[in-house]
Amino acid sequence: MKIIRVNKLRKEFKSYERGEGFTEAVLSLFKRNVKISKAVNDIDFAIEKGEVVGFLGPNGAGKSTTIKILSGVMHPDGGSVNIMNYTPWIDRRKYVANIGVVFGQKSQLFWDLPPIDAFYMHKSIFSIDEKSFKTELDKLTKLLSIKEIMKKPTRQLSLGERMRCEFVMAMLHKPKIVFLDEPTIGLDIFAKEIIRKFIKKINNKEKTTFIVTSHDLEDIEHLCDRIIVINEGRIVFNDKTTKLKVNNKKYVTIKFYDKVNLTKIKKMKNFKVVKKLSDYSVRLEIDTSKMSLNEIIKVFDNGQKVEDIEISNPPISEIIKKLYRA
Amino acid sequence: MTSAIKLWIKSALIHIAFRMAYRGEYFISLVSMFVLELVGPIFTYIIYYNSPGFAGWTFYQVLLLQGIFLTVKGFSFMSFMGIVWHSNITLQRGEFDLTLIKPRNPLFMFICQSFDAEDTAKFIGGLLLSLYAILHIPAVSLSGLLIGIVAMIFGVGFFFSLALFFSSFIFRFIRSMRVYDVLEAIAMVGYYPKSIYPRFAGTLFTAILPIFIVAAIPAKAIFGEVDIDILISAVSVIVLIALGLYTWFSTIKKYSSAGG
Repeated sequence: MKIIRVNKLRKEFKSYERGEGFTEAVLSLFKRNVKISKAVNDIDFAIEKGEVVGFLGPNGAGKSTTIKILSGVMHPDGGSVNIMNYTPWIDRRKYVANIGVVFGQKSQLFWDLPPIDAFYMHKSIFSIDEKSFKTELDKLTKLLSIKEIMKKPTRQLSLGERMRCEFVMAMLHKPKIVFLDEPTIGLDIFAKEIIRKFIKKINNKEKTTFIVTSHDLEDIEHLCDRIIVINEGRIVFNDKTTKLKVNNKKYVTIKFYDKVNLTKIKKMKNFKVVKKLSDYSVRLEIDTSKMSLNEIIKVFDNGQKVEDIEISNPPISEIIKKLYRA
Repeated sequence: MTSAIKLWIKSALIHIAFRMAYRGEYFISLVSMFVLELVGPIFTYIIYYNSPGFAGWTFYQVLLLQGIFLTVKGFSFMSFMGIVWHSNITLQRGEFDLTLIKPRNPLFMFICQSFDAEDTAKFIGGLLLSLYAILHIPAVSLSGLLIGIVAMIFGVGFFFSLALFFSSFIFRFIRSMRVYDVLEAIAMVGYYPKSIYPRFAGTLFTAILPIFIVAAIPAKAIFGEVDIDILISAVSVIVLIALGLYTWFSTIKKYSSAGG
C-alpha cells in the first residue's frame, strides 16, 4: 500500500547576488540581482507503507527542501503530495500528529531541563492520553536504554544519549511515518549502532515507514530497502539499495610478496588503479563483463608473485559519487 | 480550549523551571526587574511634587495609571510579547521547523515557547502599585472598576497586535532587532496621561495606534471618567488584532527555514 505519493513537485528559491567590495555592497542597497534557483524540479516518487527509504544527495541538491515539504514545514510552488490522504502543508495540524521527525542538528529537548520534562511537554502538545503515554515511554525507555539518563539535565548528556532521547520524542505519539534528517551525525560507532538497531526493530515490529537523509552511507546501507538519489533538484536514481550495488565493477585488492610494480600494472588493459595501499598491495577496479575473475588471477600469476587476492563490491559511496557527477 | 490552556500553563511552568535551573541568576533578574520598574513611579513622585504636575490628574491617579501600565505591560511581556524576540532567535537558528512539526496552531506554540518568567515581577509590581493607588483614591465604584478591567483587557489586546506586527516584520527581515527598541518607545507613550500630549497626538494614540487603552483610559474609568475614547480605542484594537493575525499568518506561509 502506497503511503506517500509525490507528483511533479516543484520549489524555487529567490536569492540575491552582488559583486565584491564595499561599492558593490552600497549599490546592492538600491539594486540587487535576483537569481532564481530550482531546488526541486518536477520530481515524482512513491513510498510503500513500512519501507525504509534513503534520501541522498550532495549539499544543495534539494533533498532537505523535499523533506521539509513532505513534513508539512514548507509550501511547494507546484505539484502534489498525498501522504496518508493528507496534503502536508494544507492539512498540517492533522497530518503532523501522524508523523515523527528527528533532526540530527536541531534539538527538541530543553537544554537546561531533563529530557523527561520534554517528554511530558510532548504529551501535552500531542494530547496523548496518560495510559498510552506511559506504555509507549516504558517501551522506548527499554529499547533505547535511557532510564537513567532521562532524569539528568540535557546539557549533561553526551551527544549519543541526547540523540536517543530525541528518538523517544519523535516516537512517543506512535507516528506512522518518521523523517530522519542526519540522525547519526557526529555520533560514535556504538551510538550509531544503537540507533540503527532501534530503527530496524521499530520498522520490523510496527511497520513504521522511515525516510532517512544522511551523508553517512553506512546508515543507508544498513537501514534502507530503497534509495532515492536527488541531484540539482532532480531524481537521478530511485531503486532498491541492492540494485545500486549490482553492476559489473569489482574491486580487486592484491597483496604481493615483492614491491608493487605500479608502472607495469598501469600499462595492463582492463584494470584501473584505485589506490596504492602500501608498497606491497594495490586496489584495482575491473569490469567483469570484459574480463572474468579467473582471467584476472591468471594475469597476476604470470607476473609478480601474489600473496593474497581479495575481490569485493565497490563501496556504495563510490557509486553514489558517480551518480552525483552524472 | 481546555487542552490549550493546560498546555499554556505547562509551558509557563516549564519556563519558570528552566529559569530556576540557574537560581541565583533568576533571583537577581527578578529583583532587578522589580527595582527598575519602581524607578518610574519614584520619578513621577519627584516630577509631581517639584513641577506643575500633570494637568487634571492627582498624584494617586497618575500612580494608578502607571500601576495599570505596568500590570498590562508586565502581563503582555510575560505572556506573549516574547514572540518578537523568539521569532528572531528561532529564525536565525532555522528552528521554526520544530514549531511547525507540532499539531498545534504555530502562533499558539510560539506564545507557549516565549513565556517570559522575568516579567512576572513587572506584572506583580504593577498590580501592587495599582492596588495601593486605588486605596488612596476616593469613591472608586464597582462599575468603574469593571469597565477599567475590560479596558485593560483591550490594552493587552493592543500589545498583542503590536507583537503580531513586529514578529511578522522579523520574519520578513531577520535580525532587525532594533524594532524591539521601537516597540519599547511606542509602549512608553502610554505611561503618561493623554492630557500632556498635543491634540493631534491624543487622537493618534486613541484611534489609530490606541496606546491610551493600555493605561490612561482604564485608569480614568476606575476613578469614574468614562467617555467615547474607550469605544473608539476598543474598535481600533479589534481591527489591529485582525490585521495583525492576517499579516502573521500570511508571512509564515512564505517562510523558508535556514539551513540546507
